[in-house]
Amino acid sequence: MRVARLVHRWLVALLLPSGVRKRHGDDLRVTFEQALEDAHRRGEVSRLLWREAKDLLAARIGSMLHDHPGREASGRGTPRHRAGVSGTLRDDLTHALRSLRRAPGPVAFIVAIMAIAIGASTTIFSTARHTILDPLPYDDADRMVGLYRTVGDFGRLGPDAETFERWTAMPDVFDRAVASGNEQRTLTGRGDAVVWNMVLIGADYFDFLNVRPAVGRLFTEEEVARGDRVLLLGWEEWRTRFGGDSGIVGETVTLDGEPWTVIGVGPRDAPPPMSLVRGADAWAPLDRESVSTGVAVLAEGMKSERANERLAELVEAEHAANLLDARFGGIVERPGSLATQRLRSSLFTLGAAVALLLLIACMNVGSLLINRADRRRHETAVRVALGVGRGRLVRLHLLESVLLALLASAAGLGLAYWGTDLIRRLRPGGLDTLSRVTVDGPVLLFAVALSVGTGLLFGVMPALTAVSRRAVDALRSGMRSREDRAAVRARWGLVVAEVALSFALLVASGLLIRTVADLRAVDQGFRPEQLVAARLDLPEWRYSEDELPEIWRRVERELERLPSVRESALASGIPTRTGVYFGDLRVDGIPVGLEDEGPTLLFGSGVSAEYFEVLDQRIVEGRGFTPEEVRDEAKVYVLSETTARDLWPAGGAVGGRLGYGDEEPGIVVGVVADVNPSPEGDARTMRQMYTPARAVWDEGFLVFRVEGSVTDMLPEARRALRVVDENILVELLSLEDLLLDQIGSQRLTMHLLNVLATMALFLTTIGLFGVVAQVTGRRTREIGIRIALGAPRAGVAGLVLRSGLAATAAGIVAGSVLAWGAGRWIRAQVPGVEEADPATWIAAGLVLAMACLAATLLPAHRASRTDPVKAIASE
Amino acid sequence: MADQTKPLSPLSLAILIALAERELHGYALMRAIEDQTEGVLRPGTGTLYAALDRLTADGLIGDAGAEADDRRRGRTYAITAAGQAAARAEIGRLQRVVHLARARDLAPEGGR
Repeated sequence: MRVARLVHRWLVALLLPSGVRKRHGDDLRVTFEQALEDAHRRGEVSRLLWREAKDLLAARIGSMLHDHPGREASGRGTPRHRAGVSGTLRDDLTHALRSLRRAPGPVAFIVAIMAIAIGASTTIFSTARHTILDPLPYDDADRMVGLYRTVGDFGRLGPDAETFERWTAMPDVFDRAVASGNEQRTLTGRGDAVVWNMVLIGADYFDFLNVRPAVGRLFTEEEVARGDRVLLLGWEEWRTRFGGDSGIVGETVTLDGEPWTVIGVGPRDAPPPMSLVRGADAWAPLDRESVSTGVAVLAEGMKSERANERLAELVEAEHAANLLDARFGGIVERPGSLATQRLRSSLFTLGAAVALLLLIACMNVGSLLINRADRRRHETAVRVALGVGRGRLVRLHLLESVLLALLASAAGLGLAYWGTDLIRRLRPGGLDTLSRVTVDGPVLLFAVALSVGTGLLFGVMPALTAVSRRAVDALRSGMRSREDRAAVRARWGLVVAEVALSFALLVASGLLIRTVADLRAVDQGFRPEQLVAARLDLPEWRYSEDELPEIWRRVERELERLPSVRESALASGIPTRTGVYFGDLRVDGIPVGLEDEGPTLLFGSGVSAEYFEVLDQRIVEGRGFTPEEVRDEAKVYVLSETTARDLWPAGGAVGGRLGYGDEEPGIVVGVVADVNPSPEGDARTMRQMYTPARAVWDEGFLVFRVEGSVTDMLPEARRALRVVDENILVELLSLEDLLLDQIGSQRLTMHLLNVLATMALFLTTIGLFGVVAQVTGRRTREIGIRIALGAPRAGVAGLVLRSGLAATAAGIVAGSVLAWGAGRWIRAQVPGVEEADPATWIAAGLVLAMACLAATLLPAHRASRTDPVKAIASE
Repeated sequence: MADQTKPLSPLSLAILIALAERELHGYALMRAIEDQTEGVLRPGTGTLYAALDRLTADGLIGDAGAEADDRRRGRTYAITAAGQAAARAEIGRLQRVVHLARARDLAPEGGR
């Protein structure tokens, strides 16, 4: 009740026309009091308040619509009504609107600039908030951690069921925990065969996340215990593949050739906390052996650092008690931290760039507003002379600025919705979290507040100076006063600052362009052009292990029949997608450890004899595998240069004996070039090893080099590969695209930064143009006199050009400091950036200088064509 | 005198009709209007007092006098002679509208 009274009083103060309030305020309050008591008895207080709010608003609008507030149905107003506040406010509003309408061009321009700035910054910062600050849509997301077994510094392995149970039995550390698993199954009979990412969960999983199935029901404990073949469709799959039809419940789908019953559809917004990259295509019951992921909510007040200390103690005790393999450590980590880290640097860089752009836009708008006020000084002076009060004038300017800002905010909001929609649909980096990006309220509010602030600051400042000056002054003289010069100086200052910021942005985006170009130019160790890898998933329920080599041979034969395929090879892994071996090494019989501690990690694949030739991977020493070695799976190895050097620092790898884990030692027959699995990664830390292998895999790669365009031949390749069995799952990858994907986030950042830098350049050019044009226009008479006195026209043009270039030069000098800082910042985020790259700096300076030159050319040209007679006669 | 050519708003008319029966204070007036229009008009405090302000300024209603006032209920309003005239004029206008409507077959079924 007290709150209701307070709200009502506030509403009355805000909305009720002041005349009515003055004359009837007390009565109104007691009336409301009675209505409130009544509503309270019936439990309808909030409804009453809502109605009152609408009613008071209606009363307000009613009073504004009538010519004389407080009157209806007659012309007999009393003077005190006419003098009401709302009347003048309405007058001012009309006036402000009229004056905005009078100059639609500049107004539209100001609105457009601010709208773009608001839209862009809101989009970028909303994305940042959703991915970095709040990546999971769950209540306890800030306390959620993943549990991992660690192997060396690199390896992260989920816990098995026993480990999970032992580790989460620390009630002071973990509030609650849930285990899940993952498996891939092939869906057939519903269009092309696809692999489903099945998230295996227990009956308690959705409770843990506090979500419910969107359709149907969850598994019962019995179904989970029995391992029934029942599943819930993932929300996205249900929407796209099954058309969002609720009738799907009870139907069967075929996975790996087995029938599964659909009992429901998973929650709409429930990404599995540990796999942000890919959501669940289906949810299926979890069995104990499949546990591979553990998620926990930390106990209230428990920091993840402290949790890690506790876990480390436990792991040590478990090592001592032989409960945990000594190779494993344990760690808790914030969910998705690995996935979001990739986006983090991009977003921070972009965020900084957008903030700069917003600043430039604000300055530009400020400059335009100053100019606008300046142009209208004559009008203002007339008003002052006519006795319009200072407060009224300031209010007029204020209203105009606020109107401008509101228009811009509305347009910016539209842009922000469009931008976030774009992000949702494009999902750069393939991150599922991005599908939830929406316009963020507080972020939008901030951008709008900034634009309104800019409007107020630059809208009111000139108004204040305008009214402080003696009005007659401006009327009499041809506008040459001290305030004049102050306004021009302010605009010059803004332009210099804009040039400085633009320069920093240009340098930053230039550095990234160069870095990305460098990344593409890195020697990959093989030739990715026109190289295609087909990842094949042979339906294991159809073939026994003995049949697999024959199937691979048949598929390869079908493929080689295609005229565009030149040569092909089989492999268990390809660059960027290799297997990992880890074990203890013996070099020529002597144990060798290459990691600081723990077993040595080697990345490698089993390959056929043609592999190195097809990939064009250079053989540095020795030879590749022979067909016989492949057929017999002989104990021979080919090592990458780095591996050979690390294991045989003194040389002599070829012919050396290498023992791996428990395997019999084999002979190193060759050394090949390092393959750069990711362009940013350092190849030397990725030690590679190859073994000769027959195709006995149910999942592997067919690598082939094609003639002509890769994209053109992909459809026929897909058809050829499925001739053998249409249940074979085919994923065709262009190696070139795959490598580009690896630098995808940098490329995206680069593109966006380019867009931002271009916008900044554009705004700066316009800002400079505006100021130079204004200043030149103002000097028309002076220039006319100069020309009349015989000054060469070229000299006059030079005069104007020099002023523009001086501002540019000053801006570039000031911007250098900023650019240096920006470069260092980017280097910290993106490896390989050289902030002092002279070519980038010179290019950025040149681009900016050219833009500024273009901006001053027109005013300079106009000045040189000044007709002295007209110029002197004017004003 | 109110300008006879301009119609009264539905709320103003409802207030005048309610006050024609007896003097009322704000909240009672609100309830009376709700009752007599069968809930079609449910003024809140804002529109009610804005209308009362207008009607008072136009001289159509007045203060019922200090003895009728109650601190807990607020001022009590009464209809003036001018108010009665204005209400009559409005009803007459409405009757003409009804006649016209009936002639054009727009009157509701069973309307007398």
